[in-house]
Amino acid sequence: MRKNKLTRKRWPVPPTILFLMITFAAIVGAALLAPVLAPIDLAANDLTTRLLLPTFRDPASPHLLGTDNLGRDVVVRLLYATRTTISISFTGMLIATAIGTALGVLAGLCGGAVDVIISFLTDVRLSVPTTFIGIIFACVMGATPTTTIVVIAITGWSSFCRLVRSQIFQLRGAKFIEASRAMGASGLRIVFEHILVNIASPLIVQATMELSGFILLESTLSFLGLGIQPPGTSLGVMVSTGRDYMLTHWWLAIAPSAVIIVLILQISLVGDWLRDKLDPKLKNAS
Amino acid sequence: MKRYVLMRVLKALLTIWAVYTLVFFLTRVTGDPVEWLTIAGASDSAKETLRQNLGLDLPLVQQYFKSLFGLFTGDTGTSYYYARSVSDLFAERIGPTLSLGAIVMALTILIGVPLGMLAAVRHNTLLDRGLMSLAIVGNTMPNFILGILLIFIFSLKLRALPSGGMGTPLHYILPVIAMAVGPTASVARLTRSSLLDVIGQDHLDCARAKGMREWNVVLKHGMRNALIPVITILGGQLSAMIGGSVVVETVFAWPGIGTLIVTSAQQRDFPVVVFGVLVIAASVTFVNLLVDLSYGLLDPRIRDSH
Amino acid sequence: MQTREAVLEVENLQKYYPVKKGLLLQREIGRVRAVDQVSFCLYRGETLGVIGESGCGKTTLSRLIIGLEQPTGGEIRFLGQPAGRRMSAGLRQRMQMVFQDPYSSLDPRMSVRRILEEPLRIHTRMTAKEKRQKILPLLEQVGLPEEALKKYPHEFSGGQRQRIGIARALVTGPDLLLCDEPVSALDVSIQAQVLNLFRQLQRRYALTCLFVSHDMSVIRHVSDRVLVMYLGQVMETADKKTLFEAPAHPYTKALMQAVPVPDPTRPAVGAVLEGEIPSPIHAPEGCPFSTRCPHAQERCRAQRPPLYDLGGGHAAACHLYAEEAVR
Repeated sequence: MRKNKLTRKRWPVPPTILFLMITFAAIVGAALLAPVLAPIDLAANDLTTRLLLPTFRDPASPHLLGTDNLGRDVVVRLLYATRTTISISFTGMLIATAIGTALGVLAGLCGGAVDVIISFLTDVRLSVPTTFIGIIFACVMGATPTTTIVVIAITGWSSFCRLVRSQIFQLRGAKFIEASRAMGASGLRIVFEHILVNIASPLIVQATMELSGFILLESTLSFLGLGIQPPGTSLGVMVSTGRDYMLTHWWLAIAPSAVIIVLILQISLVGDWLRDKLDPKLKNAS
Repeated sequence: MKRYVLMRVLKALLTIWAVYTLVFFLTRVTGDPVEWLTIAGASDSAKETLRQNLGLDLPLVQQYFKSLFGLFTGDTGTSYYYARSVSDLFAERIGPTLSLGAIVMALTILIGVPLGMLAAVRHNTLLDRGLMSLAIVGNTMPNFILGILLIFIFSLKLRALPSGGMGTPLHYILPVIAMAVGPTASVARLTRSSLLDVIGQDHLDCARAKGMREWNVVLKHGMRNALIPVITILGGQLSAMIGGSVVVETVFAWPGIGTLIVTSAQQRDFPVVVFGVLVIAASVTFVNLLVDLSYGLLDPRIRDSH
Repeated sequence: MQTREAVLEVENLQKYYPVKKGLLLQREIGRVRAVDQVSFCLYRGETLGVIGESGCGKTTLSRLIIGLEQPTGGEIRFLGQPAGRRMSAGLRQRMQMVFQDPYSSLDPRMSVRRILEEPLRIHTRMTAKEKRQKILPLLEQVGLPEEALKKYPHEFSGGQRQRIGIARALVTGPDLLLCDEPVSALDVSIQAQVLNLFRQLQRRYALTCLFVSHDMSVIRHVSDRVLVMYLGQVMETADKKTLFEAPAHPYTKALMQAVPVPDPTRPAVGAVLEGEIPSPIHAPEGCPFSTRCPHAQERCRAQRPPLYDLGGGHAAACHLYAEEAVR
């Protein structure tokens, strides 16, 4: 009985979630270490080894998932592609969170005209679907990794802004904020000491949930040829090139697709769990 | 109520105008389109003629007002590449996009809502869990991957359905599935959770106490209240759906607005891109406006508070 | 009688809230007089109890004094300087407040250490060690163990939280402590403990307090002098003994009789306060209590009674005392 209680306390994370977290960490770790694990030149190619069969088709093949149309090992390509996808989505998420939080705090605390303007900007942003924002920016700035990060930041800030704004409206009436004001605290101190700390957990949940959306956005843009360009690679680029060999070498498109699906699934399931755990209030939001 | 409707309409128009203005200037700050429209080494006089033909010789602000007022008179500008009126290009392609979208929207509601209800009524049973697991997978499945999988299985392996293009009703099947799975899953999940919120409430217990059948209770008393969040999300789903249609149209080589905009973006055909974004922003804003106004019809509390 | 130092002087303080109607072009259709021409003086070392039913403006009064709201008119002087919203930081740290709700007035994401140190962080540049030295004795004073510092508010009961709230208010060694219904959110048994703690601290630190409550027995327990408020106005003020033994104003008398007395031999008094409190938007012209007062006359409805001085610091705003008043 006592032992049971102890173990429960030591493992507050249910085993499925723990499994998802560990596998996610493993994928991300391997991807980030790609230059160490398999130092290659991304632009190099070797047409003599093009489209070799994978191990499950030809047990003698040294390439676990075969080689692609330019003779490069698919597993190594996958590592690099995941690395690009993750780092771009993550950077974009950080920027989107920062912009959204700042604007949300501004709207929530200033109220009045500032709030009206920021809410209007949110409406303007939301009236254009994410893919189209990606299209416009790729068209204007050219398809580069920086563009993709900019697109993620520009599409992503609005949901953080809305969340922070509504949280602040709830917090503004809180007695402990009033107490702080009565003690003579300045507005900035209240934001840093009380507000940011109190909105941190819904913000983390939101950031997690959005991250899977950003991975999807990056892959979609790269798939459409509006994101990462060869010889650079990302999961979307790999799906896009693999698509041409579907009939004979289906794994070229399916393998990166599977990685995308697994990443998104892992993140959204962990996000769901985090949301229920940290913030039961948000359960039915969106 | 009247004043509320008026304010909302004004705000919607303002939003569309802001989108148009932002996109217009964004596309013009990056340089001279003439440079990439002409081949390298083209003579200056040739460039100058082209510039005049496209109206790019005017000052930027003048170009902006000219194209803005042009919109009101039906002059939507000329595509750089097709050398045709932008509105003609869209008119040709709006049909395929709309027919696809309408089918997808109808399926989303007709399948998503009943599935959500089923899961809610059979809460915590195997059926509920199974449906919800499917919904989670459907939600996370990117539509371009789903499209590729569908082509692989039904076109390449089974050779049962066409992999792209448009012509027969059979051509609709794969793109519709690829587009509809995600929104259907979202709607099913939301219908379930909002119905579950309502199902435990007292006035439903009262209906049960009167001896109504469970399905009747859910249909007559539950759905009316549960529909409001569902309608809200449909507005958002439409936006996601329009975004998704670009991808699905590209995958299935569907001759709609999506493919037009993507190819135009790749070719930097700005008049087409700007007008395309305007059309899309307008439709999203319009639907959200309708959604906002329809709350009032469903919920008297909201209706009276305006 | 030695000259006493006035810590807080309030003169003709007013707070009106406009009542508006319409969406875009709002018209003012009336005003709520939350605090109406309130004057009093608080001397060093004494506790002034402010009593009244809910909605009588006693909470607004304390919020005006600490500067959470801007008064419509009148003057507040704290230690001889103008107080309220534009108080200097130096002045502000010498006035602290204990809030009504111990559950929401402590930030749930802050440890008790950080909560107690907050006033010090705002007003001083003390090192971590200095701050610790400052809060440790206080923690002991309010009867909490040192381990409490690492814990978070949700790990404490309501009574313990209010002890934390009191300790927080005392950290800067304030000259004036405002207590806004500090025990009304607590269970009765816990109320007694917290009030006893409060009495100890009062004596130990010679606190000057403004203590707001709706509960006669609480006020009786802690105050030296009492101010009775009704619909934003002062009805009566007197030292505690006089007020409880010889109340003058009919409203005060009614309040006294509403308190249950644990004495079965005392004859029960029927419902003294008949009728509802008038809506503050349509407050009566004359005496605000005239609509419910058993002694109400024509004059009461037409003319607002001033505070008649009855001698010895006792004053009542009732026309019954127009003749007795010390001129």
